This record gives sequence, structure tokens and C-alpha cells, in this order.
Amino acid sequence: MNKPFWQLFVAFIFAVLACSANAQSHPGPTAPVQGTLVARSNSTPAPGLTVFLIHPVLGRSAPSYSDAYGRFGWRAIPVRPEPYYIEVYWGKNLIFRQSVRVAGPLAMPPIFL
Amino acid sequence: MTMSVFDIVVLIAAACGLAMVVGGIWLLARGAITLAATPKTDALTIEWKKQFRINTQVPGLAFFLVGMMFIGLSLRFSQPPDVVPIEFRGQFKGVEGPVTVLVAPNRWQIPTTTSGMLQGKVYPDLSMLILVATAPGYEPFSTVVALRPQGQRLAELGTLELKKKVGEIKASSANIGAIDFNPPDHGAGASSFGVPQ
Repeated sequence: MNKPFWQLFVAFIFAVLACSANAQSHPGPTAPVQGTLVARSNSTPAPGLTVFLIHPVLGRSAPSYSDAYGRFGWRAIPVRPEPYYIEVYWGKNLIFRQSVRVAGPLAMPPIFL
Repeated sequence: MTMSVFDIVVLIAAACGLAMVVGGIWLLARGAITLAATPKTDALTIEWKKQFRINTQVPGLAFFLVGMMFIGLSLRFSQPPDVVPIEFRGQFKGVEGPVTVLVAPNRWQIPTTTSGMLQGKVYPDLSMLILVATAPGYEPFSTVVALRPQGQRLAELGTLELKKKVGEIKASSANIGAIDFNPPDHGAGASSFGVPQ
């Protein structure tokens, strides 16, 4: 077979191998975010509530559900200069929203509802 | 995009099939082969050590058929495997409001060496699952679900009771800060970042 064919074949093999190379994404720094929900009426932890972080660029986070002690959190929230907003839902009803900045690992003060 | 050796082989086979089909069309256009049957003396014959022999009087068709066979086999083997669903059955008792049920596999441990190297394999095992049921104001209920390794993947949970801890918290305008953008709706599948603890 002639030389151009082999050149084309080798180029094809390299193209396939290039596709198989690991293409790891570099999302940037992330940080854990944690907090606690407290029912203002009797100062007890508020379990079972749905908590989101929303961001003007990133959108809406995966939901975190407060546990028996009212604790919620996320493992890897992208560190961003723009503020996030934390939203707390009772079922489908929004009952709390507040801005929060994530510049590093964050343990929020208790949120009284 | 990460491709395994198998994926590369499948891709090469598909490319070979495509080359045969396109090459056959090109040879037809050049007049080098025809789709009409050739006399026996002109038949295309492949013989190996006088033990294995294939011949055809329609080499043009053979190009297409073998090429299509390569493409078809590549499509067949590149199909993703069927995902076997896991079915859950149970009933919640005495819960007011929507219940959210989360299921996650048990943690898998990766072996490490004393020299600090991390090199190991995880064989995902879904025989033990952790199920957490939660509702607003109720203490989350968690249980371990064991599935049979073979056969129907069914988890019978029976009747689940959640303990109420807090009465409904009503929304107050003082607690809801204003925002200057429209966030995506919080329907299922709308999340784009963050891994909950």
C-alpha cells in the first residue's frame, strides 16, 4: 500500500488515542458549607426541612435535608466572589432566604425559623 | 472523554466497516468491481493452507455485506448495558405532608498502602443500601436495606413511622430576603452543583 494511505492510517490512530486521553475538568476551589436550623417557637432543632443554595451564575444546588439535629450541609460548594443565597423550604413552601458568601469552608451560625 | 481499549476496538471496527462500504462504492464508480455475478473463473477466492476457502462470484456485494457486518457488530457491542432497577415497597404511617426518600449505597473502601500510595479497585456493590426517609418537621428515619445478589431486586420495607418533632413553620416576609435574579425551579433534576452531606 502507498505512503499516503499509511499516513492517513497513522493520523486516524492518533486521533482515536487523543479521544481516549483523560479529559479531567478543573472546576476550581470548592469548600464545605454547613449550618443548623432551629425552630424559633421552642428553640429546638428543625429536622426534615429542604435547604438549597442558589447562585446567579451556577443556578440551584442539590438539596440538603436537615437531620434530627437540624444540621444540613454540602461537601463541595464552588468558591465564588458573588454571594450565594440559602433557601429553606417547608415542603414546597419557601420559609427563609438569606445571602451568604462562600470564600472557604463555612459553618453558618444557627438559622432561627 | 475516557475510552477503554474495548471502546477503541469497537470504534476501529466501525471505521473499517465504513471504509469497506465507502471503498466498495468508490470501486464501483471506478469500474473496478461490479455488482453483477462474475463467471466462475473470475470469482474472488480466499484460501488458507488448502483447509479454509471462501469464494464469491459477486465481490461487489461481498464488500458491502462484510462492511455492513462490521458496522452492525460495532453498533451491537457499543450499546450501553441495561440498568437493572431496584424496586422499593412500603407505607408511611401518620405523616402529614410530603415525604422525601433518599437511597444510597454503603460506602466502598479503597485499599491504600503504608507508603501512601492510593491504588485500588472498587467493585460497586449494591447489595446493601442505606435508605433515609424525611418529612418537614419529622425526625429522619434511616434503615439498611439488604438485597439479594441474584434475582429480583426488591426491597420490602413494611410500615415506616416517622416521629414528629416540630410543628409547621409558616413563611414570614421578614425571613425571606429579596434576590435580583430568577433561580431555577427546585423540581427534581434541576440541581447543578454541590454534593449534600
